[in-house]
Amino acid sequence: MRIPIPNTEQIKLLLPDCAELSYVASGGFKVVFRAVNGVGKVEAIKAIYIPSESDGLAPEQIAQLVARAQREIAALRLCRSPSIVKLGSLAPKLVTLGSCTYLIYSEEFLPGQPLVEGVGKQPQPDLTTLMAVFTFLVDVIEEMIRIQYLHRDIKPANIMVTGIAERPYVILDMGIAYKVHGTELTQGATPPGTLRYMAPELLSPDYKDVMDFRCDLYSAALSIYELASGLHPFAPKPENDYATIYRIMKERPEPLENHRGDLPLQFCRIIDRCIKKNPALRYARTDLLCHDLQEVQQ
Amino acid sequence: MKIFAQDGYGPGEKLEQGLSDKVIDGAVLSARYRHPEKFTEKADSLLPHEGELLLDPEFYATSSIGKPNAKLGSLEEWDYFSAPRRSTLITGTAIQPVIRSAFESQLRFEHLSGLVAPNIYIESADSIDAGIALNFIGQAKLVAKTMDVTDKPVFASLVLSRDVLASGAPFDDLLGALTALSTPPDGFYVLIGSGAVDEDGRHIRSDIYHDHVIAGWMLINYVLSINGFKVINGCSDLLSPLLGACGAYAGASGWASSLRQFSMGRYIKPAAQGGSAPLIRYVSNALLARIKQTDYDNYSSVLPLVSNGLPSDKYYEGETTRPQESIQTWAALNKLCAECCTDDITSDLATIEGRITKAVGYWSRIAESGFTSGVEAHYEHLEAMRDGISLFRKWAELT
Repeated sequence: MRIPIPNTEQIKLLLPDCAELSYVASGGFKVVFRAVNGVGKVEAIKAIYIPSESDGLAPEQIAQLVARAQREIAALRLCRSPSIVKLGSLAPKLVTLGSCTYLIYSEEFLPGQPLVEGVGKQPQPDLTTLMAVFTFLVDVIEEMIRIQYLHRDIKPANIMVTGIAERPYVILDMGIAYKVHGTELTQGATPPGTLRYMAPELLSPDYKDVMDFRCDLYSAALSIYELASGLHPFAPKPENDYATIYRIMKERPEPLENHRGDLPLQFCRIIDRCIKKNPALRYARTDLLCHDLQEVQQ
Repeated sequence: MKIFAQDGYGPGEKLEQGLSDKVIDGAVLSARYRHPEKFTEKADSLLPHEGELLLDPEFYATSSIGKPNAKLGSLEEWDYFSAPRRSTLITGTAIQPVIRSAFESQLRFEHLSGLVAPNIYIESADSIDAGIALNFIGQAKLVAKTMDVTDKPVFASLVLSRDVLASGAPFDDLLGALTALSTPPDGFYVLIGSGAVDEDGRHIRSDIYHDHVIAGWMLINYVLSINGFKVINGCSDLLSPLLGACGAYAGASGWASSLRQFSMGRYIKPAAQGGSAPLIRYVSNALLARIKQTDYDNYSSVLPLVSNGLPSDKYYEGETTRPQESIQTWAALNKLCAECCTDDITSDLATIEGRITKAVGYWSRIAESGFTSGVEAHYEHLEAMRDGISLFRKWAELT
């Protein structure tokens, strides 16, 4: 469904302390603005559209959407890692703009561009870059483990390349984060997320019983594979979802070394291991993964 | 890969000699055949020899308590060996006390190099019992920590029916759960139970020598070892090299058929009693088989490389004793594993496959020489090993 996008004048009225307000992007139920807050800091103002029954959504779907937004904010509050986007100065609040309701809050505004824009570009990223991105993603996963969440949407489009020395990469969008011991928000047999980066176990009917951090590890390693090779092993070209699902479930990806013979074999094997179909074959402990990554560096 | 002795009935001085001859690297002692009062004595006799000693608490045999035909030996003399009410296993309240008690029993013997946690037998991967067993495994290290045991590794027992290994998705889920424990043990002591027995109460070898079972057992070793666990396989006998290629720390074998192939049936008296004593056998690495002594003599005459060329071969020049048979088994396994297990899974599996192909050829030559009896069964076992390796590669997603 197309969501109504509030205009900047409406937002300015709501947030009189903000300056230089401008529209950035929208996707799903979310609209993002850029603004300078009352103390001169640039922030991303996020407005999540809360649909009504007139939008054709059932009350439980609306409730799920609100709960998901609240969960995203709750998860961000718990995060301490610089690898994860931070909440901004605007505390979440429900507002009515015209006839529409939005949940509005702010996050830090990160400069730079999403990693996805570098995928498939020449020159191909070198080992130092790939190691830096993967190490950053492992840090994200460790933070998720610490706060007992799964990110569930790790992909190049959600990784911001900031150009900031202390925080070169930051993960965005915890919109579908899963609370490990929390109440189920998703109804039905398919989890939310981006199919191309979804671990095979998430496509099984009993995914809620089997998913753990290893599905984030899979998505992270798949992102590195794609970044390194310029190819997505399961969706090399646009095709229907059924074909992608088949490949995710059944096809074994080409070993990364076949695409990048210039990279250390050990690094390629680490990535290959993290995208195994059976989660038990991936790393079950991040310390073992970090140990193996350190050996590559040495 | 290390070879351990699988302890059982009538050990005599076999363990001492095995350690002294350096054909075994340690032993998995049996609580069933070791009375707690006499345990120290035995451990003391093993002490002068270098080796790792573990005690299998055999808690899984508590399911036989109270059965009129139960065969539990000294197990009921051990403090921890009593069956808690099932409801307390399901709720988990009985689990920590059982583990604590089993550890306390083992800690009385300072010679033990690690602690083996008790567990129950898993008949089916998606059963309540599997959940209980996972709880035992998840609690083992936790209990050791509360007891301030920091100087000995903790091995969780993983005792599975062979059917679990061939169950597909439930088996994968079990492996997923085993590797994702929040307080994992340091290692695992793995036993794979066969179910079928022949009319004399003997285990049917093809129950374990089945491609899915072999592949599953290899997968357990692979998944656990790549995740940093030490895996000790009980009763793995001639499958030890296959498990070693997949990362196993140790395999074990003993002097009786029940110590070379595990079954819960060992805790139940067979319907048929008596019968003749098992024949002395020789483990031929070239044939990848355990052959009767008379066959060894016959086959060697047409195919000298049936002999392993080890010092223990001399025992077969005259009347061979049971202890000598054990030494020969361990020496042969040791040599086989040294040749097949080099920490490079790709080349190790290829080496084993090469040996299987050669073994098939040797059996053909033996059959062509007129010794056809039993050859078909050996072909089948070799075929199961070869298919098991192939299936393992698929399950382990190895290219």
